[in-house]
Amino acid sequence: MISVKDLSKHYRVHEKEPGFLGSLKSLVRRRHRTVKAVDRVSFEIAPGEIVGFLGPNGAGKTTTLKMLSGLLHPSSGEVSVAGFVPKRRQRAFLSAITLVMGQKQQLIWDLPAADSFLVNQAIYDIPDAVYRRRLGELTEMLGLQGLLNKQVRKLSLGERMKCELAAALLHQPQVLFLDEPTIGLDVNMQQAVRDFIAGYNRRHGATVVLTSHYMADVTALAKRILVIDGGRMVFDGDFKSLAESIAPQKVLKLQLREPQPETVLRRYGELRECDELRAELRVERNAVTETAARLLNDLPVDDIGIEDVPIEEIVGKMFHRTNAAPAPAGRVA
Amino acid sequence: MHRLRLLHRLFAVSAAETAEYRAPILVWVLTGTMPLIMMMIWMGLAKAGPMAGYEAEDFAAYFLAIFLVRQMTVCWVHEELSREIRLGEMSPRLLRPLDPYWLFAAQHLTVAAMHLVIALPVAVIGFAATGATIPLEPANSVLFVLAIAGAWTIRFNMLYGVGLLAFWTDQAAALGNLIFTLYIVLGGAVVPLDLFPASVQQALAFLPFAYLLNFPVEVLLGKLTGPAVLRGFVVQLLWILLFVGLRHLLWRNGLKRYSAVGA
Repeated sequence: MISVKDLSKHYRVHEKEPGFLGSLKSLVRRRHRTVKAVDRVSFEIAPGEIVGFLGPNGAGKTTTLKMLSGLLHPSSGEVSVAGFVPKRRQRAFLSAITLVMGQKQQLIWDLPAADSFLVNQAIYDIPDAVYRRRLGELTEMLGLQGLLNKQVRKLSLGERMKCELAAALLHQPQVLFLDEPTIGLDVNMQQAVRDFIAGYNRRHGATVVLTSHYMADVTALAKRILVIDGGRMVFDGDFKSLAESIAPQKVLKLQLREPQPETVLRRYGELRECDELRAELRVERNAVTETAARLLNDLPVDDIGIEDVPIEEIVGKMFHRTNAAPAPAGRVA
Repeated sequence: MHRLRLLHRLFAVSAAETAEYRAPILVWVLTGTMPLIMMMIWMGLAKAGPMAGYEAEDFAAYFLAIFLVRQMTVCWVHEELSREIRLGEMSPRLLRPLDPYWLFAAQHLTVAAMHLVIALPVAVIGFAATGATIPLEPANSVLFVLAIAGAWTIRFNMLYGVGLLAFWTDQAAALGNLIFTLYIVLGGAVVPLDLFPASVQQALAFLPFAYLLNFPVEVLLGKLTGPAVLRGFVVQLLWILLFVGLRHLLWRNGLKRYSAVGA
């Protein structure tokens, strides 16, 4: 459904020192620098897949999504989405995709959302009966009752986001690019949007590529993740293999019958937390079973749990690691 | 059928949006009253005797007509375009399978209609107060509508092109201001073009500005002979072709440079 090969986006940025003197200098002599926002990225995404796109701020996630949706022309490389070359922006392509970004998007600010929906109906040429059915479906799934006839600027952030999502999906696209679809929403609303995306994917077999700062969005929706940093693709796979490749440790959670001195606990692994009767240890992946057995044997242990390192920590670690590597040429959001 | 419904929707929504901006539009109409001030100045000057054949009433009719033409061809598309391009706000428009040109056009036309609703009574009062008249004949009226349509299309496409320059430079606004000044002075909104020296008038025939203001006004006032009207329309058509072509060229090449910053 999506095929990306050696995709790059390089910007030539004009550098200017701050202040008036800097402005004067740059008038006389302009200094330019090439920023590699996306650098030779390749991946394939199958129809119906939900893929999480992770990376720190400025890693190139949004730039990639913009190239996939035809907003930006790539500097080099090949992109194919639903059989189209995005940058040509053919009608059939634009009717097959959607891109949802941030909050203020396509809704007309001073009119009720229903008006913007009607414009989209006409632009995408959706027959009346189909339009009514889809609007009914979206209204139900997103809980839009009572929102559609209110001026958009009078809606709350969450309500507006839901209306934006509906406007972006009225033409029932097969490919969804979602850039931070839950940003600024409260927990309930985040959950609602998440459920909606999962439901849309199930119902229509749509392909979804999503970025989010909330790891919960990604873990709840995506089976596969792509990690990009400094414009380069640094990981492509499922969560399990990400954990294995990045975090060679597992978490051992202990419930003790009586408090133990930290020095004792440290013999078994890296002590992360120790709070009276509870302790958390990091243990090498291949030594977990043996360590757990020793702990049960040596200490008054009530309960023991073996868990994976939290995904937030893994991803954080990963960015830390790649950042510590030779600095990338530069980045642009 | 699709096109027809689309057109209808765009205008319906533009009208609804425009209705939200009643107060600002009233202010815009008032800021467009400069021709009425010019009218009073020239009427005062004409008291000493006609100038280039213009009596006081002729000046009144000329500037009232200029006022109306300006209100019917209001255009600020370059400002919106350059802002949206610089701030990356063009993105949502680019995701939909419709050239943003049509949305902007529908918006400008509905706002122009709103301007006319406010400006027409002002002009009627002006005509009554000054004793100026317009030879309202069916032929004039039809030709005037055509000349206005031509003027609107030239101006809208010209300024659309200026706005698209924002793909390359942050300084497009300066060009917009220059063009506005030329439009006012060389279009005939300060001095009727008849009062310019013959050589200047000849030179102005090679610029678009006279066809945006002076030409529709002279058509309305019935000042032009048949051949002159025909020549005017031909020149309008040439400018339309040029600016529409230029707009397409700038749009196609500009999109390659669009950086969709931020949103």
